[in-house]
Amino acid sequence: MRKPKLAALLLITSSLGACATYDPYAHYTPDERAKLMADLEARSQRQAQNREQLRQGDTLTSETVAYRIRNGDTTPVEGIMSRGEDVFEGRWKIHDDPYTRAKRYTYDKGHYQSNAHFGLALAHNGLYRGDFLYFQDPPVQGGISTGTFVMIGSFTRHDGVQDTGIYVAEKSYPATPLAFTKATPAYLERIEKRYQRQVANYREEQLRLAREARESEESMFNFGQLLALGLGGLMLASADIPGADRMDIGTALFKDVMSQGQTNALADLAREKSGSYATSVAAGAHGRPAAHRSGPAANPGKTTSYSFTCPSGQSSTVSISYRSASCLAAKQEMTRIYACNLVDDFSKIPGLCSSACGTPQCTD
Amino acid sequence: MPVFHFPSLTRLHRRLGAAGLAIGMAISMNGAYGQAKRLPSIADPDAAALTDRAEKDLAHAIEADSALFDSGLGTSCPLGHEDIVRATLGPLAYARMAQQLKAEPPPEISRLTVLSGTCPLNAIFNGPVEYITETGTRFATDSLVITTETKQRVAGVFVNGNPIGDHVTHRRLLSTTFNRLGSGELIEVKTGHPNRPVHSVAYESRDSDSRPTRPTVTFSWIDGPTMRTMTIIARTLDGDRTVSDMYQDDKLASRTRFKNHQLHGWNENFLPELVKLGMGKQCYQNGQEIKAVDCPDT
Repeated sequence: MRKPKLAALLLITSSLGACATYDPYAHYTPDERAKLMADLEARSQRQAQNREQLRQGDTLTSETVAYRIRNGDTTPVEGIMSRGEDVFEGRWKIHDDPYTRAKRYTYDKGHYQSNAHFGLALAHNGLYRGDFLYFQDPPVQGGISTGTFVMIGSFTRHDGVQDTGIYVAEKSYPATPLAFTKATPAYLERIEKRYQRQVANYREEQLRLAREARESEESMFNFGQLLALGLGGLMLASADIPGADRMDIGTALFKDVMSQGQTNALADLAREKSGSYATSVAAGAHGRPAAHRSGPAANPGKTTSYSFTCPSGQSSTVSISYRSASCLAAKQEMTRIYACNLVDDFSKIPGLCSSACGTPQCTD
Repeated sequence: MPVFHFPSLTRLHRRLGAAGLAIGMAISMNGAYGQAKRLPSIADPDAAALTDRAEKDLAHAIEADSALFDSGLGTSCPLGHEDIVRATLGPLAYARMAQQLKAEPPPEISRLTVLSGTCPLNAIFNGPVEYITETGTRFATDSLVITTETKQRVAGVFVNGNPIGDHVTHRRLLSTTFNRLGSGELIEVKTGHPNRPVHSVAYESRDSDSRPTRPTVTFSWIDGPTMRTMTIIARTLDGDRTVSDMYQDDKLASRTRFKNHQLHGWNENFLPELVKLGMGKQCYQNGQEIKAVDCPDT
């Protein structure tokens, strides 16, 4: 009774796909064609009216933010702005286009309500609440350039189901509704590589802020630990998401990254937070049993417990996987430096890891 | 390859009971078995082993069309949709899928007719049985309505309510798509191609614990503008996980992984037009799409 559904869907999509290449009204009677065209016109008018109605609630417009930038005001701004059928409400920050050097405001912290669909709620429709980051794609000759949004925080789906994690919306066009999809930390690493220069700028900015705030840092989660987690950690470091969630996500992410797949903490956390709906392996690569991996990751090597004491007197123990003794030593040192928040030693890590493990983040 | 083989047709008629006999007589009388419905040669040994048989079964079903699913030839069983699903899946499979089934809206039409054997008692079939299910669903968005009428004719054995041994399923699926106007009026989508039913035949085999003993292979005669046939080979990896290969004609079009009947693992598309659009593969975990580098299917 189940498999016919898949078959039916394939058949339907196949036959619908076939009619997309020519005049869609070619086989209708003149009367039907007239009705269908009139309906299409009425539908787009209704859509335009709905968008206009949403715009009435905007407290920010593209004109007002452009005005701020023209006048040299690039400080963060709070406000509401619709995006087609969707709406973002919260804090906006300035973003420097790495290709054109132009400045624009993008989402920083707040919530994004995804409403856009075709008459049937979609899996990504709902409320995303947390911290946002935007990366610009290279300019396209004669076309509109796109970008990637990364969001870290909570998602309440249109039917009330809740989840927590990292969400990405890639190849997003300006002023067009975003379609977020949940992402694993490993996928985030891929995004980090794709936008290396923009991430480096963001990292520098966050590091500067961390140094400024070091003396008064009372966060439950250590900034050094977060830096070890790449882009996800960086976002968490400055996230305004509730303290408990922030610590939970960060701790889980840290465990998973450091154990190179031997733990499944982020996935477990997702399960705890969202019950049966949650993905069993939100952490992706890190949740997969090593025996099923292919390529270089097929041999996970050994795992050991590493205990250390920070200059502050705080002691910790973490699980570290490694393939070579030299890489283990580098991983232990990286862990100690990050976990103890030895900010002045952070710059040593890429060199140490590169020479011992072959990668600046000690991923052997 | 000749399509009409009297001995195999006789076997089929025996399996299909009285209706099969009537169809066979009609076919023999008019002497024209219809055009050859040749299935492609597929690079899958499990599908290849069944191709000859499927070709004959499909040709027969296409020729018979609605007559093969004539519920007037049997006894209507007074069951609701949930009990029909429970009876036809068997309690073991139903228990695994109960949560998902409850989340689905019930179809508008759901009927069960027994052609041989007895109606399920407490939603449980027992012994050899041949039955027809009829299901009517309606899927609506604000601009489209898709109605689907599915008729299945299944022959097999149930023990303690669970299907065991070989089960052969003939299926007739008629899907109609309508434009839905703001006024509520429906205008059928017209593509220039006749809206014909799709006939399928599926072969499965289960052991005494109702676990598949070999891949379930489904052959479908589409005869559509973009493909003529579709073949799905579903392999069970363990109790919970299956991998399903779908061929459009003789080309492997997709490989889909499931766990507990939900998408789980990489969903791979091999058709160049989809790969070009960046839809070569998507990761799913328990039915949810995830952006991932590795995508476990365990």
